Amino acid sequence: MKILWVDDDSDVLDSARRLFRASPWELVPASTASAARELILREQFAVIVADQRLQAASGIDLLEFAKEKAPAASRILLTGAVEIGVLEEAVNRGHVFRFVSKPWDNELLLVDIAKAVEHHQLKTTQSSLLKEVSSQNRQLERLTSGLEQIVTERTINVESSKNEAEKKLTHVRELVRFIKDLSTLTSVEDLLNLIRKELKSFHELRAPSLAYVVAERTPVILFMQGKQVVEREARQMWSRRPRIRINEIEDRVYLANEFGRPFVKVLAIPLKRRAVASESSDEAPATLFFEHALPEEKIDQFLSFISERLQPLSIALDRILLEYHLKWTSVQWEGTFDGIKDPIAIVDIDYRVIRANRHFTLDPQAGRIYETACHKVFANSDTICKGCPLARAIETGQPQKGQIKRGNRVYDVLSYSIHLTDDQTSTNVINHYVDVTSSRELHGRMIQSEKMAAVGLLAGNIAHELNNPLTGIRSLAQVLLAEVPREGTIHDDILEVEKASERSQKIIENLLGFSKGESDQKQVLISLNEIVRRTLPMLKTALREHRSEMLLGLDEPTVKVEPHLMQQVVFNLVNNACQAMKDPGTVTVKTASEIDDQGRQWSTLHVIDTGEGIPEDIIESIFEPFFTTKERGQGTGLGLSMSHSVIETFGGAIHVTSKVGEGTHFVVRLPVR
Amino acid sequence: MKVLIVDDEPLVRKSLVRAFRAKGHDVSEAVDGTEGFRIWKEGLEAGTAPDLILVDVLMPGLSGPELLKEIRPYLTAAKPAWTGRVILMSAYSGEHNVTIAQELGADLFIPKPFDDVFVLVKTAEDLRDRKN
Repeated sequence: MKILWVDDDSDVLDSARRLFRASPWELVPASTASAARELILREQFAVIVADQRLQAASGIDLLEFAKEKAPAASRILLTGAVEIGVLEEAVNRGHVFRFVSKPWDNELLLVDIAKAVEHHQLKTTQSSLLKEVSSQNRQLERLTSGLEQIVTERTINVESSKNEAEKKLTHVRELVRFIKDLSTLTSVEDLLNLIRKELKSFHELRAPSLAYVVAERTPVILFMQGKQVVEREARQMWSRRPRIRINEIEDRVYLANEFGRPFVKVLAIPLKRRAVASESSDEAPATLFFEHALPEEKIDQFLSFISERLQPLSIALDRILLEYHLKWTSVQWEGTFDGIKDPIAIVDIDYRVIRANRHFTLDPQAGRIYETACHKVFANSDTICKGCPLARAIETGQPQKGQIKRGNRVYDVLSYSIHLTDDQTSTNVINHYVDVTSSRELHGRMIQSEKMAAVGLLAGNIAHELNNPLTGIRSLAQVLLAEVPREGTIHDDILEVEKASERSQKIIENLLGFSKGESDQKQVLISLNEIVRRTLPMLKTALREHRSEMLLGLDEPTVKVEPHLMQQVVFNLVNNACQAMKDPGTVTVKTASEIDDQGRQWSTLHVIDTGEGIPEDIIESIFEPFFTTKERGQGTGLGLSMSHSVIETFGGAIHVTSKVGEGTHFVVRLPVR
Repeated sequence: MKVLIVDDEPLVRKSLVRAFRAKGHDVSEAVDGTEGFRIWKEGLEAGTAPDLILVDVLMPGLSGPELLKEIRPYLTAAKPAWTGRVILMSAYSGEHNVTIAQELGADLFIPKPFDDVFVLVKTAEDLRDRKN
């Protein structure tokens, strides 16, 4: 609360200051009337105390000013000597609250001031109450007059004719029926037919046509030919401005170009998209065109008729176009995925197929694949494919790679976990299968040939080292043969040593030729039968316990080979066959001329045993160098790999099929030259 | 005929020694080129030089070709001159060995392994006879 104290005597102001220092109020001193006037205008005071005699004006003048400008402030006049005239004037003009005579009694003065403040507060409250009451009054007045108006309107409504009400009702019913009809439409053709029916009452309207465009596809125009709706690609783009246009030149030109005849009067009604925000809002995706002969006054009638229907029309078209768009998008995706040659599938965490492309299905003729187990569809297997990384992908949420087999094809499988719901756990996995069979085969063959090269190098060195002692053994045997009597076991034994070292020398010779990649001997045309016949004597020991069947082709199938090496192959195959049979069995050696699917002629050699067979897990390894199943010291692991590469140098191939417990069948195919 | 056989492979050496002896020849042997050269030189100085030496190509120490290089000066420059025959043998057969043998002044190159050790003895005898 502020108290303004106006006095030109600075001593008085000082004592007033001292007095108020301990009071709850703030004293604002003013020494001139003009300063006081400024303060009154600028600030709010609870009490204004003025000396009656001021230099330039009287205190009463100042208080009168204060009454006018700050009526809420209580006013106190300080007087030296009380004169009746002054009192009268102060009461009449200044409306003073108290007179205080100088010199004052401090205590009494403070009581007066407190009373003045209280008076001020009372006055302020009163005035705000007053304000509120008057504003409430005004509100009440407004409400009353509003009510009166409503009553008047109601009366008018009630009084309006029954006919008019029914007319309105019919109008609304028609609209509702139209909206209902729209909601059942499934194609733009139906939409155009409905519009035509709806506008039947406007005789001056010709049949409508509708131009529209869905997404990035080519624009389409629909029009009536008799009672039929015809659809075709639009020849050019129409104006897609979203504003109703009456007889505008651009629409007339567009239709003239589209239909090849002049159009004089045209109404263009654009239908805006409402549902799809991504569509540019300044362009209408569809426009209805009407050729017409409507007179001026009927155009307005038509426009108001169509305007009422524009919104439901647009919504219906929106829905239809959205369906088109969705269908088109799904066709696009389907085409995209089917175009990819790798099998791809989205499966759920229970291995059920959610979506898959064409190449995913093992049997494209098979019916239902969705919701079926992915391993069933992909590999016709009832169990999860061995090596499938799907479970790991779900567990880790990270892409995973694995390798699985389908028939004789090998696939790298890439599993990517995805969330198809809002929460962060994996709900599905995309499985992408890449056929790596041929690259794996290539890799395998590369390793094979690298190994063979290494073997060759090794063989070359060993062969030279062996040649020396072998020469000694054989020569010494010859010397001994000359020294011992011809009759007797010692002579025979030494002869065997001599023969064995001779054979060893031959093998070394072959090995050397092999290591050089070519042998000194030339390839010659020779009958496969002849090769077999030459080799058999060397196999006598091996075949001793088994039965052998020779089915040599009567046409003497010829091959171009190095006879020595080819003999080695036959030796290896037959020798292996014998060793594969622990119990006495049958070795069948068969030669034939055969023609393959592509019409090429081959000479073939079959070596079939009735032995133990080769387990499936090692059958791929049998042609690898140093791979052997024989006991230590029994086999070098080189026989088959050597045979394999020998046959390859002759342009042929060697294949094996085997069944555990039944036997093994080797086929050597060599081109007929 | 006095024959010197130089080969590091004991079995080869042994069989050759036995084969030549069986045909009545006087045979001495050496395990490498160094020993071979020493025996040959001692013989030459003592007037008992071999009529024929059979030398392997690859040997530790002094190799066959190196041994021949040592001997070569005695083939042309006299004092004391040597008129014996030289046969070079090797398991590393090949055209280049024949050429090398000729350049080194060998009379014959025989690839190892040989089919019949007595044929070799006969070949050596023929070589000596042809020269005489």
